[in-house]
Amino acid sequence: MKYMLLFALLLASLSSGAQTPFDKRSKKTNLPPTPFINTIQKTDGSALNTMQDRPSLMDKALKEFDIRKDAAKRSPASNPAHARDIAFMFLKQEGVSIDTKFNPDDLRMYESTIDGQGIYHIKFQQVFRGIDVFGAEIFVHLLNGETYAHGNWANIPDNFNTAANISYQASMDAAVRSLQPEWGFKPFTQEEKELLKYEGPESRLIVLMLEERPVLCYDIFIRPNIMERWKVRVNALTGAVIESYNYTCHVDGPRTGTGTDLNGVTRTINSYLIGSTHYLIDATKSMFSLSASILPDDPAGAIWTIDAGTTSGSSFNQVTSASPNFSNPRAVSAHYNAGVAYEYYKNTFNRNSINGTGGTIISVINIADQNGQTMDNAYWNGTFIAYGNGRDIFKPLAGSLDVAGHEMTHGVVEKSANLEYKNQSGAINESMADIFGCMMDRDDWKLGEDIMKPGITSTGALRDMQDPHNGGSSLTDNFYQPKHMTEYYNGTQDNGGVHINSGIPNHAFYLFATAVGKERAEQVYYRTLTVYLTKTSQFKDLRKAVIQSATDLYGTSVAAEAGEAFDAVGIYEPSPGSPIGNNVADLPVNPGQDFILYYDLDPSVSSTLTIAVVSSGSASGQTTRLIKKKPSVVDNGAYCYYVGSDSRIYRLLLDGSKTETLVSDQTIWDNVAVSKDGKRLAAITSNQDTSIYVWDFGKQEWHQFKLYNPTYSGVTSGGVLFADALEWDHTGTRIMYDAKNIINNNAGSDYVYWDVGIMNVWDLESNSWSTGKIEKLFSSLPDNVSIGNAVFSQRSPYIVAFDYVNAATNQYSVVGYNLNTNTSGTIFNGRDLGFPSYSKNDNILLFNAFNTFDEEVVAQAPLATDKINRTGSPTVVVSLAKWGVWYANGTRPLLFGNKDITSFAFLGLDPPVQATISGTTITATVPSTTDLTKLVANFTSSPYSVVKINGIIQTSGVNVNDFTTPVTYTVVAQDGTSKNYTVRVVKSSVSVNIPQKEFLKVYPNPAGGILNIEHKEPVQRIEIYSSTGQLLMEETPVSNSHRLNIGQLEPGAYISFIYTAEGRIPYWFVKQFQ
Amino acid sequence: MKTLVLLGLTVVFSMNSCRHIAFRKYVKDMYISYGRGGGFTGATETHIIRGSGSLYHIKAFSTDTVFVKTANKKTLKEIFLYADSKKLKKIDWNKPGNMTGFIHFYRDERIVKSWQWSEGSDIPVELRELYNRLNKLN
Repeated sequence: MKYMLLFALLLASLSSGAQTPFDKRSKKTNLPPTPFINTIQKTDGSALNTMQDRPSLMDKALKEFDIRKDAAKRSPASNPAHARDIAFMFLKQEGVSIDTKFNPDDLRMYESTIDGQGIYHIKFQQVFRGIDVFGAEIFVHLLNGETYAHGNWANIPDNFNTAANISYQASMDAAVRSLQPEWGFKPFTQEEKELLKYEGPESRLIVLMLEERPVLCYDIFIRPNIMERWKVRVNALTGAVIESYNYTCHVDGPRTGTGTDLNGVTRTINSYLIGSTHYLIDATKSMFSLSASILPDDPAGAIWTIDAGTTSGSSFNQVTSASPNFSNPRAVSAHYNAGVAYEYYKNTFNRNSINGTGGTIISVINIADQNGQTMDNAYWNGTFIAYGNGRDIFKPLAGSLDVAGHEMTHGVVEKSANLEYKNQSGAINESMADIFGCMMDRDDWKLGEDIMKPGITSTGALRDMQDPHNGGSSLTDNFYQPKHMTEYYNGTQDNGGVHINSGIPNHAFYLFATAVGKERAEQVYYRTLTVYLTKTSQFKDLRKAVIQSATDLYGTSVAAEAGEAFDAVGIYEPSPGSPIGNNVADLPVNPGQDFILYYDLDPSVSSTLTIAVVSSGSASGQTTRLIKKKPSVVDNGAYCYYVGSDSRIYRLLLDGSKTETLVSDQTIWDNVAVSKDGKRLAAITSNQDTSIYVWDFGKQEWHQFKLYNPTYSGVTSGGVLFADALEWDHTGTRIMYDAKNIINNNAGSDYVYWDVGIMNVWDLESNSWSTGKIEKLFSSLPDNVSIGNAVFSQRSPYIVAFDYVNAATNQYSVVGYNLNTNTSGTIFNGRDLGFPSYSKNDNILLFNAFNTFDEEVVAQAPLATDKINRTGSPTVVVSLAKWGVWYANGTRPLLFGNKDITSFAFLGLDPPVQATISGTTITATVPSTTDLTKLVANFTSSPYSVVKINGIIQTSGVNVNDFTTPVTYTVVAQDGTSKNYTVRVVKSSVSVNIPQKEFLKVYPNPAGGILNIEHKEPVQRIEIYSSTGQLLMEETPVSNSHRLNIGQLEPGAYISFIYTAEGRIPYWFVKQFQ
Repeated sequence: MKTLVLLGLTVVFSMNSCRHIAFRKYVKDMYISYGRGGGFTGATETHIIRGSGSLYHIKAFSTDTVFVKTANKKTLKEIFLYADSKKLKKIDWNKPGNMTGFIHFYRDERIVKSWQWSEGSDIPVELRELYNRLNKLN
């Protein structure tokens, strides 16, 4: 596709050879560079033909004239008049030989000069009945000993009509009309007239040869302004403008003009002049880089608007004008709005463009759908914002600032949290786009109101953050959105309702912004998006992130408003102490004996791979084969795999038998990793083929998975070159790899870095290949930073260690990282890559290092219980060695088999209801007024398990279900086994009496370490529950006033039950950060 | 001789009609829905082609399923056989984006295979081929 030209420079720079420390691990074969893509075709879209477009037509109309004759006998010219006569006689004699129709009487001499060498030069203009024939000139040079005549001559028939049908004035009026739309003529002051010696357009008749035919024209000189000079030629018979051109010599660069947008408003437009053509490239922002730009087809750091020409994106054209003013309303709207969106992010958050680093913002107008019909939509595709021209429901969508802001924010999301575009994370993605679109177009809370056709919705808008119902009453109504979790859409359409359920967080933002002001709210949400949200954040995580951001920026009172806003839409605080998700369980310790497999570098020893027994320190060489990369060991320590220096894959038994088997004799491999259960191999080749190959021993087949950099839009064009280090997770379904990426940055030089991704290659449920979907360990890395050689800990699937390199500071570190809490620790600072490996208890980390003799060693460091920080000093394990792998030779389960529901409640009810779990039966008694058809359950289940109802995954506090009849919850463990629970909900026959709530005082809220509880009646008992229904504390004060110590609780929201003799009173409170 | 020829022809024609009946039975409970949607509005245009050859269209923001036409039998057969082929079944692709293209292949009202991709992204050639063939029906 032609728009790929934007990456032409990127692709062409593949051979630049920029290196990082991770590159030194292997040498890859370069692929041939991609051919340079054709440049965008230019069209001015106007009816004018420029001189540049039609020179060939002129050339053919005139006959060439070239005669040289000996002039030894010619008498010298004594004066210019004499020279003219000589020249004229010469032409009379010789001209006929060129063309029998040549008539020297049709020549008018307009110049006769003598140069310093005494040579006369006489210039003649051809005329026809006194009218100049444009371009027909003959020059005669009276050289020493030679007469030379050359030029052009036109044959004009005798009956050619030289009587004009239109007047001089009419011709000048036509010329002005032709230039008016682009130039908008400005009257000259008297001083300007005197300076330019210009009173107004000047017109004269000429004969213009077009396609070998003479045409009688007015040749008009006209100035639209003090700078520009134009020639316009008007047919003297018809009054039609034949051609025009600007013959002012310009300096290329930014220009400012105006244009009328789709709403009829005149906007200031920034364009870029190249030659005599203005392009919709705004180069006025500080992010613009002329040196990095290839103009006009690849501007760097610009705001750029192009035209898809009513294609679906198969071709693009520049939007151009002969003047700085543009007359295309769609282009004007798109271009202007992109500038407004840029300025909003820059001025409000100091964010430099969509990607934060001054990347070009591209808007494409006139995009059609794939059937060629005009599109009733706009979208962001990861590279540009595309605007359709509307059809049944919308007017041209470029006319709306909130559309531009919405789509541009998708780009910002992609470059920050990179929220996955489905289900709740996708709804948050959509919500963020709506929020910031609304903040740019901030006079109302509606979206799309400027472009919606009348009569489509009662509100006139596509969406309404103030009232997401938007005039509808249920999910079956078009343009209706839920505004509370009880209205949540559970279906699969719209990627799990990303445009539907976004109404809920939208409304939360509206409530929050109304309470604290838009200026504070947008700052809080920007921080939320760029600092705290992750790609799979759910609504409950959004709540947490917003509250934290509000606390960071403005303190607890604003944070409390955020909490109330989320409470109001039914998004409650997740259970404190548990990280995002419930995946905190550890695998059992491998019961086997400890070993270290390492690569011996001692030159006095022939063996390479060597096994050392940890307890005794005894070591035994296993092979003498040279290998390319660190070996990969199965979890039970039975064997390992590696790629030999011959690029073949080998397997080595680790039972001491030294049995080495050739596994793949194709000499193409660079690295291999075996899954911990031994069921699969992951391998990469020595080519830059951007793939990971996986062999499944059960299916006995290879599967190729392509690497890509996941973006908001799902797939991006690339930037990934190849993978290197490979590591399987414990389940044998995902591969963690590091990969080299290359980006062309705005400074013009290649930017190379390594990062870590996790690819999903196998599906346990179907026992077959998965999609190859990739998540990055980090959505973005700081400049000059690369990471790689990532490994999982042996027991905790959420703990990894990797090499961290800062090229600017030459810092090499081995870093531990907790995927659940997003916290990290530096374990070791070295001088080269570490290639870490966890011990079987995760209490020691092995890594490459150098000793005081500058020799490579395998070193170890003791780890803290968090497994990401070091507690003691590192020590050498093996000298003259590298690539230590710690393993044990016992067997343990690698998949979690727990499949219990551990708590169950309906916390959204008033009062909240705890359910009773007895075996696989869960019962709950709810207030008599409860609508059983729409209940949201709060529950916890075993780590790594998935809870489903009829195959649909359930999320605590999210899914709405009908409990009028018993509901079966199926808990599926990671190992694929499952257990069913039956949930029965009955209504209480007695209406719930909330005893004397008005006499209860609970303060402060939010609370710090102490919660004061007072009641008119003695408080008999206090229970504190998490938001998922887990009982965390209970006390029996038996007094009217009690100070409850809640210091041990994690920050978050809780529900307390306060018991008096009258009954039980529920009370929500927030424990704040301290 | 004539009898033999007639018998032979009868056998040939019978075999052909068996194959025709076999295909009709094969696609009887199949249908494919396909289209694209998302973007700013969330609008989705969907077409459904049934095994019977009936093509339907569901416009964005509408629940009405509108009959469009009856597809050519030869084209229909090619499409269903291709969609149900091994090489398509081997492709797993669930990567929606802001604008998502999709194909859902149903049998007996249950999804047999489902593909989603982000507009403008590179998808397997076979999937692109199926999508192009389906869109040509519109």
